[in-house]
Amino acid sequence: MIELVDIHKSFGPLEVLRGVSLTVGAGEVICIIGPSGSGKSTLLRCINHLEHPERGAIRIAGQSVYYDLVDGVRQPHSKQRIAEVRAKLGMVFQSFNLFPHLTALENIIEAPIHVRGMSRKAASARALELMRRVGLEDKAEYYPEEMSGGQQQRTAIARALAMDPTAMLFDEPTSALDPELVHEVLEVMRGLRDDGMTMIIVTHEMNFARQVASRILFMDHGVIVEEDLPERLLGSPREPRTRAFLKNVLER
Amino acid sequence: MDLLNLDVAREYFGVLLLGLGVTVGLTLSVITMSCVIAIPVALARMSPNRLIRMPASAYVEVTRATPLLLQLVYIYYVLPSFGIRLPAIAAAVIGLTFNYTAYMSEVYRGGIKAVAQGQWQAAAALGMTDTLAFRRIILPQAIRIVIPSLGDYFISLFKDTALCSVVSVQELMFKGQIISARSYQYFTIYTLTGILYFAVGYPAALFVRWLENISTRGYSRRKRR
Repeated sequence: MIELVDIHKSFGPLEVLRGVSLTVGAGEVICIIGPSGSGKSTLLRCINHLEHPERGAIRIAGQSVYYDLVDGVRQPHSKQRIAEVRAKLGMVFQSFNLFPHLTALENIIEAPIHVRGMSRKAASARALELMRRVGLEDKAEYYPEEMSGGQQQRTAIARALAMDPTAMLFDEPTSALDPELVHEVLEVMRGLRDDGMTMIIVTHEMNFARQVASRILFMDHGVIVEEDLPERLLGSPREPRTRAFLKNVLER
Repeated sequence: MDLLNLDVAREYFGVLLLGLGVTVGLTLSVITMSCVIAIPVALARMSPNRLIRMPASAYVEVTRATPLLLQLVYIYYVLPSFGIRLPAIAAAVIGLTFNYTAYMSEVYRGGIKAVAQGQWQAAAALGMTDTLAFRRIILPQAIRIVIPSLGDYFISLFKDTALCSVVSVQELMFKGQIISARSYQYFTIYTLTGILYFAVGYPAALFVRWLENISTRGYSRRKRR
């Protein structure tokens, strides 16, 4: 359903992604692990075009998105077309990025109303339903800064879900949270998995990855070093680099 | 004190009040227009397109590096040589707006830049175009950031309108000059003029401070109620 082919991305002289290919099927949960600077987040951000790869193709539901290849030359799609593709990919950021000037409910209904043209009434009803789903039905009128990190992140998940995404991208969703708040966000994500949501998750939560992932990818230095079923990759990794990384992480 | 002539003060109070009306009207119309026009100017200055950015930058730099008084005089006395004849009040409104827009566009530019980059990204990830993200997400936050600075410009504009007396706009300063020269009651008239400026300027400054307090409070329900 999401297909990445030979993605290359550099920041100046620094090659962050050096030929990454990945296919994600509908309903799959892919967890991406790896040391910081390995390109995990950049890869995720290429999928919804927050980063623009220099080379490679991204296809969603068989359609090439963001660029067309015309006689071997890449032609970027119009901003409107790119926005439409993004609207179908929910994104959750490490630092939540809620809109601070809007209440939780307003955060959630903003895009449905102004991007999709939904009525305020219908959008609000749906938003309240989503807030119930993430356990925040009593926080609709709260501003982000009045909520805990865990509550903010759950609001951010509800905000992404309000656009009825076909897949969700999570960029280290629990890394900015106090340890005691991590589980409430992971619980919501587990619920999404149970509902069959396609998810790509960059995370450092190895136990969570073990429990929810259909596959785990280990990335290092801009390439996918190893990918496998959770038990196999975490239990008996084949690559020395994977083994070294897991040893460091799991023995902490 | 013999210097203060109450009869003279009473006689000319009404005229000075008319001047104050012009001063206030001038201030309000210029601040309103500058607040609005400065936004596209700020965006033009931030444009990746040089053809848009360079003229905007040139305008801002030239305006900030030359005296407001010269700009007013230029519009009123020089433009007629090119066939552009403006009534004094129009020249004043245009000159002040021209000048203040340049400064205020810099304030907006700073405010827009101060909004976290993550806000653009979150908006984009939700399928918002840049225009929509700017209007709905970035600008409301930027305005809140710039309110204290805009308030300061509002107060200084109120006082700068006095410069318009040189292009014969009948505002408070102009009235004061005319009347005092006619009556020779410099002390009485200029003191009264000063009192009138203060009577409006001080509450306005208090209002601006109040706005500042509100805008730096942060976003929350409890405090808003």
